[in-house]
Amino acid sequence: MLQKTSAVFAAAFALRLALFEIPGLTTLLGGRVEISTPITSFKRLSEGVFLFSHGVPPYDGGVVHQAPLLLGLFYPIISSALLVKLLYILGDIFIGYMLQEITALKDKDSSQEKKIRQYGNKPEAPGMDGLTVAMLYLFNPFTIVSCVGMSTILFSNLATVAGIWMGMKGVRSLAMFSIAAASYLSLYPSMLVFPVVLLLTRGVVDESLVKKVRIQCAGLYLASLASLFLLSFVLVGSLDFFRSVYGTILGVSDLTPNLGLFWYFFIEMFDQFRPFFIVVFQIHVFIFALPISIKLRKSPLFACFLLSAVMGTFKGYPSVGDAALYLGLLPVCSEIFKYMRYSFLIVNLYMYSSILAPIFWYLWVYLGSGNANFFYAIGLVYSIGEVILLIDTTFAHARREFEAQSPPEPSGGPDLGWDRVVAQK
Amino acid sequence: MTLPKDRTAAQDRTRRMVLLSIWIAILLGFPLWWKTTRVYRAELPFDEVEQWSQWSSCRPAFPLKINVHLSDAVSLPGSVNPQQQHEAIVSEIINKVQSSSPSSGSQNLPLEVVLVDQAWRGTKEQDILDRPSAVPGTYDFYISPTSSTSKKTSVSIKSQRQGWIQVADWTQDQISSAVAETLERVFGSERTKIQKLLDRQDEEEAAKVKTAVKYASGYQLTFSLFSGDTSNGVREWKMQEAINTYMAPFLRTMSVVSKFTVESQVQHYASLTFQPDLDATAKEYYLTPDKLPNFINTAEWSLASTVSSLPSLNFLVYVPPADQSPLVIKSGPGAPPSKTNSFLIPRWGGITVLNRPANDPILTVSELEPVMKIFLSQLRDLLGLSDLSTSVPAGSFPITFQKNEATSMTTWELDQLLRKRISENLVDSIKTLGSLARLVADTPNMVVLDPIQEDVTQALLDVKAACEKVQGSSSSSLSTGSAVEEALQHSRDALEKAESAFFDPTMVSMLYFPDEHKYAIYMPLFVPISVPLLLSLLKELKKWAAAKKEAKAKASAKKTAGQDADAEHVHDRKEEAEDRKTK
Amino acid sequence: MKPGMLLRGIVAALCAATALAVTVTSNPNDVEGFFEKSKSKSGHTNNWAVLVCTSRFWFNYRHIANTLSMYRTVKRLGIPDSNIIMMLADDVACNSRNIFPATVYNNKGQPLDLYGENVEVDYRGYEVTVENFIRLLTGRVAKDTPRSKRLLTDDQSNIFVYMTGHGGDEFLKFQDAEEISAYDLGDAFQQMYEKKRYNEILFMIDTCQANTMYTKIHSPNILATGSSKLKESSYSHHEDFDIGVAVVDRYTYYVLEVLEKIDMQSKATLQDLFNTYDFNLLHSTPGVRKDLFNRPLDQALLTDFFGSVQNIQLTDTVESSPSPSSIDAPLPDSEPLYPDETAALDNSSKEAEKKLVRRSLEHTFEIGNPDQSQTWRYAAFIVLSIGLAGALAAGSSVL
Repeated sequence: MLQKTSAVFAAAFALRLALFEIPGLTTLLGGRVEISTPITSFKRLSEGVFLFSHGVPPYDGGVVHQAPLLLGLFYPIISSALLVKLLYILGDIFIGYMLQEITALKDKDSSQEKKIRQYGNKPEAPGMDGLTVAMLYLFNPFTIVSCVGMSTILFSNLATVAGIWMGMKGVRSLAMFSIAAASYLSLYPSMLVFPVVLLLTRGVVDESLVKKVRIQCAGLYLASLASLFLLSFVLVGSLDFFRSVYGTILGVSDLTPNLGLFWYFFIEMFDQFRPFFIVVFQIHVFIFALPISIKLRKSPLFACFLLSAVMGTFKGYPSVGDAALYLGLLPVCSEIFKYMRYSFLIVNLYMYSSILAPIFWYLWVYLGSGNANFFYAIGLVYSIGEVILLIDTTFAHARREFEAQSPPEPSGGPDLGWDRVVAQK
Repeated sequence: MTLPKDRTAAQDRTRRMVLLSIWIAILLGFPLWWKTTRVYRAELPFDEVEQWSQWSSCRPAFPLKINVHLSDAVSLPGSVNPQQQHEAIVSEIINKVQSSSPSSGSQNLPLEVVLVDQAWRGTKEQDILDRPSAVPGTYDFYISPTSSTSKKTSVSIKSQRQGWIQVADWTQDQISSAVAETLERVFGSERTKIQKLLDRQDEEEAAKVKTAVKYASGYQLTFSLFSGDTSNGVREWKMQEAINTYMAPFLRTMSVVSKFTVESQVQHYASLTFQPDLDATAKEYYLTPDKLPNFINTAEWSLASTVSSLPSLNFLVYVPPADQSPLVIKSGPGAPPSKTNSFLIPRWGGITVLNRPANDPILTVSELEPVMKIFLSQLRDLLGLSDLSTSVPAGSFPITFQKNEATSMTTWELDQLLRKRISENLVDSIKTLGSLARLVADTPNMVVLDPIQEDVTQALLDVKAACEKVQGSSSSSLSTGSAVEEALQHSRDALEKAESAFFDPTMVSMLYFPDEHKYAIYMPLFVPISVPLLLSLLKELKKWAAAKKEAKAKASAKKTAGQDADAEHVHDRKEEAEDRKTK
Repeated sequence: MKPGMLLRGIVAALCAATALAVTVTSNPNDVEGFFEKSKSKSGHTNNWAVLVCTSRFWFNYRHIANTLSMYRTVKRLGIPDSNIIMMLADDVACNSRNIFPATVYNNKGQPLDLYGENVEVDYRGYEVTVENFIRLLTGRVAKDTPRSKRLLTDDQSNIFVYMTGHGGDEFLKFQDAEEISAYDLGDAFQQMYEKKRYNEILFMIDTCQANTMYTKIHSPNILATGSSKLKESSYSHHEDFDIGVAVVDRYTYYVLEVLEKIDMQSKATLQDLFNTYDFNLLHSTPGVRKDLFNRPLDQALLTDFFGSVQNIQLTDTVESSPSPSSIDAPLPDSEPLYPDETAALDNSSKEAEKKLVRRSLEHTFEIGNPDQSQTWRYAAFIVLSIGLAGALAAGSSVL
């Protein structure tokens, strides 16, 4: 087993290293709008580090929209290309490792629960094992191009998955700190506080203990955020990074095209309605946090996946790095795969949009024979794929829960598929 | 294993909490919606603007002070004390002035006639000219018996706010009527004009083509020499010296009203767009007046000022080429040529055609003298200075106006110009503010920012300051010479502020945006989102209402069942007791 | 009896007329008297033209050609460039598909290059937007707009507004991206009326359903004419097979036929122009809106709007001016525009160098000692981060 694990990780490492070595690939991928957005672009980050190293306030120019601690992280190492590449590769590898660990912990949990009875009274087949999950993440093309393109969403994903892992392990302080770091880096993972707290309190029966844990976690989260802000203040010497980082994330002031829904809408929007619709769109992202956490409080891992997918679909500047995150979290809940109805459609939509997006971009920007509608249409197709994934996985999860409560009874001959008759108890 | 009932209850609770959390977020969004779609409109003082358009709080009246100097040289008939006689004369003058002025314009230019105590012994003109008045709005009238042998009443208005009335018949009655008639004739037409302007009854005045440019605090004067071709030999001109010689005093005197920037240019090879006709008998080329509107070759002659943004007045000197010389303006071959060979384009400038011998390459100052005289008269017209002698109606005795040789402008004309400009500026400011108020009221969707409010408030303050300086209540403010000039400055500031508020770039009213378009903006997103939310909310409410009714029914059923049970209990106990009894 | 009286009346009228003519023409002040009679009745003293082409792309060549033809006409008839605002939404002269580069023609066979020399385009390309157009008309331009892009009219200006492009029912399309509605236009003209920015306006529009565009104007002294009525399209006139696209629209072509025949002194009236409108030639029904115009059309000259005929006044009197001896000090010189130019010549080179050096220095940042300050700050940051990490490690063991 260990051999297989090391083989997989070594292969992932080697693949990324090889891709980094291809001359021009990093720049090419780093320039693609599907991979790097104004808030995750490495070019902007290096500009910020340059300004910072020369004593100029990095947020004055309106170019840098990334958190100050990233500037601090890259400041000593940016001159060495090898170190930067190693940082990214190791980050990706570590996420893979964490996903493996999460799956192992989840398996341990489910081994202690009652097995769900499937049709014919057979126990449910176990889901994917950790290594498969890690492989699915590490060799996902989205992950690879996001890593080679050096999008800084990697660090936010790293913190998010670390939060989930620590939540699974039950370490409150580190879990909250990781989620605070993720929120600090890209704001939207703050939604994941709720499922991670649910992870920390899973299995606890005592109500008062649960309440105590929740309050502790809230305090830890706020304290971690405060300390991160303090560190940033010390680093850049002023608080104007709030407006540049979070103001841009929330206000979507830079309308560079990307795979999301915002840019086209706000280019066309009348100025007097712009603030209102910004508010509506941002509420639309955050409004899912509480209802999903309430509804899926028994399966917080799936809630994490769902909220990551909501984040990746509806945020202001989505990229394939966000897709890498939730597509990596999806196999953790692999038991629902057999209940998904539209997997073929979803896979096709993803592939279709991934292939056509660069083509339509080229047609629009370089050839001039297409226009923005082409590219936005592909972005819409991509979003439709994500939304169908959300709906289908939710359905599958609900279906699975339903079958757990009332297992199907055989009637007549052995039927396959979900048109078997189910008798309610 | 949870019981189905508990499970359903748990599910209900979950569902309700989920719905509630979504709806709380939406309800929190409503105030955000209100705040973000609110149109920011600063408060504008509409009422004050309306008041000003009726002149309800203050009305510019331009009070004038007339100092009457009665000569002591010849004593009046009657044995009364001369001082008392003089006072009687002055009071008669006041009565006659008030009774003769038409009621419509009576509140404008109220004349405060004051007798100067110091007796004036003079009879000669020189005695007057030695004492000019420097205060705008204060005029000295010296009244003496006629010294000439003609024994006819005559009035001579000097250039420095003085007038000399020579009365033929040196009696109280004649003196007072002569003075009253003089005052009425000198100031009457101006009074009516200003009243019409202030009351906005000047429609026919406005319909006429106006020569004078709109008032501005600075003008750019451009003197251009267009030389036909080198065959006429002109290479340069001494315009700077000519301006300093002939124009400088005028410009300096006018600097009270506006500032001037002067520039000059020479353009060679300037040709006309057409060939002038040749009058063979008179051996001259001529331009008919109907060709004059196309005189300026706008395609080739560069006249637009590129440097300054001040309104510009252009003065052109055209020296025709030798094969078109001499060039005159006349109406036909046999007609007499124009005396000045020049014409004026209203609100633009003046043009003169200069014929000169073709041997001298330099246009000297003495050659430019007639040209500068023409330009001065044209400039006077363009700036709005009106010749008083043309506006004074005829009467029983002649009134002559003396011209000022030094500055080409008398202080009477300057005063009249000041008063006219102040009135025009005030009326324009108030009109502009009124238009602004109408515009803001008509488009409720337009943003009105704070700077506009500041400009409007400041403009109204300036209007008030200007009006107070020239309103009719007290003329003591006129004792300081600068009151009228300050009023002009205030009126100019008021106009500038009003125009900057009206022409502010943010006042572009929202392009046609009817309310139906608002529906089109809100509906596509919110209708599909709200349908499931509203339906689920309604379903929950219905369920909750049904559950409540059921609970009530159950409670009442339980009560009756409880009573029955109690009855049963009692019955059982009774039975038990009976059993025990029977046992 | 009756014919006799009639004859007598005619003779009397003739006598009166000749008497009048004699008295008038024998006016000694002949030149002025002549001019007084022929003073234009319009009451304007200057002319402006606003020529707008709202379409872009190569296949809308004809709209650019329309606008440039009108530009040439008003220039030929005397309106100077400083009084013409031309807005062209695209540059077809330098389009890569133009086989006659740097030219624009409006007739096949390329007889007359409209773009050749002396063309001044004030608003070009993407500057031609609805907002800029409305700002131009109402005068609410940004404070730093140059003089050539402002409409500096006053209450004695006659303005000729010409618009061409693609339009529809009460709207006109700008640049394929936005529209101006008839209400906007009516509002803009009303704003101009409020602020007395025109004496009379001639509004001419050549688009599909053009007549709907002027239905919402409600300010006085505006005469409007359009090329086609509601639900009708306006058509192009002909293509040039060398250029490959249509080069002029029908309405503009036939209007130009009338305008090319007049010159600056022409007495042709607007009624003459409107009388030439012919459905058979234009294939659409042009319209005229004259209810807001106060003068009869047969007295309004074409040169009142297309040309620059100005009211002039002959000067007859002169002011007496002082003799040279009685002069005081001359006027002060104004400040030089470019202060650097007034530096003395012998020092100028050194000063210029110094100035140059100083200027280049001014572009660098105030650095101080970057490494020092950043290092300290970074060191503090590292120390604090280590502290945080320690706290986390301690906390993780507890919580």
